[in-house]
Amino acid sequence: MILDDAYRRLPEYLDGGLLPHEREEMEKLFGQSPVLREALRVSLALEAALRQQPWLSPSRNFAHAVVKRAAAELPPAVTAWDQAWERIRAGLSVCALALILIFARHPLADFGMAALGGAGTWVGNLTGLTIFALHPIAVLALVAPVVAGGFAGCVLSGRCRLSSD
Amino acid sequence: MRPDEAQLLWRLWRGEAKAFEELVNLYKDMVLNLAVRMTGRADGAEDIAQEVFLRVWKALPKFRGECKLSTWIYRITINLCIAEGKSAQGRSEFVPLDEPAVMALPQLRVESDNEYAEEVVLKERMGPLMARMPQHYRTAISLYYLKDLSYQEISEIMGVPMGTVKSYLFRGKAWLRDRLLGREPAQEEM
Repeated sequence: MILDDAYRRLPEYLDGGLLPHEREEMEKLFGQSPVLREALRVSLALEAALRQQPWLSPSRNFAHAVVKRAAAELPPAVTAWDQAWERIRAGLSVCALALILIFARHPLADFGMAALGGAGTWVGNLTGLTIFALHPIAVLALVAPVVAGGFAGCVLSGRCRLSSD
Repeated sequence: MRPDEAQLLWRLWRGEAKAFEELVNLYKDMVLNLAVRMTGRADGAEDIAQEVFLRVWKALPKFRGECKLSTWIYRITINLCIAEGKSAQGRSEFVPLDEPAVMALPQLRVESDNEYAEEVVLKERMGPLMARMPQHYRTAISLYYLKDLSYQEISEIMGVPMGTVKSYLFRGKAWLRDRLLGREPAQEEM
């Protein structure tokens, strides 16, 4: 290893990146060359200075000032997302309602016809409505589209990937 | 992405004002110190740090979690510091190395054995030298010595392979050493 090469590879030597025989050669050169020794001394001092740089802290009200400036100067960064989310929610609600109507069209039609026909009493209608409301199939018809719609919305909006990252 | 980071991001996306304050408090020290080291000056670093968070605030709706939140914030800090450095050079706030004022600074050839004197001289010269260092060397060195970030993290922040990060670090330190010794390198890669 020539002197120039050793000088150039000094940072690598200090980082422990040279092969054992190269390190040996380098250490021999330190004994022979005052220039290389001086470079080593400065490199060590430099390494220490870089590691001991002062760690500063911002002023006490820094975070408060930033938040205030953000609120004053710019529209909230989340508005776009909020608006998109509102649109998704509205879409999901419409879909859920449509699905409910599809699943429950027969009971609803029967109920409507009975009410319009006036054949039954209002107590009977109320009982029918209560039964419909508590009926497991009716409950499923209400809940399943909302759950399915919510899941689909979550997947489509790409938010689920956060948990897998 | 860590779960707590993902949760914070989710809250930011949902528009929780408190979450933004938490984000600022979480990263303010790192951003400030990175700005100080990138610019080589403590004055004005807090302004840069404020600007970084305002940019983060603006860009949050576009951030989709492709990298760690911290990586993204460091990238914004570095880009802003580079831009600030260029505009400061335009305003002649940075003193070129060959200026008499800089040349007059003592080099690290302190003849006495007083290590403290040498340390003082070194620290005095570090700031101006860091500010004049080629940008990619400065970025690698600033990040590496900031909080002992790994080569992997630095390569993600800088968008270069790990081997290139190591090369920047070695060359950057050699660049500093050469100037402290008053020895001009034959070829300087900018």
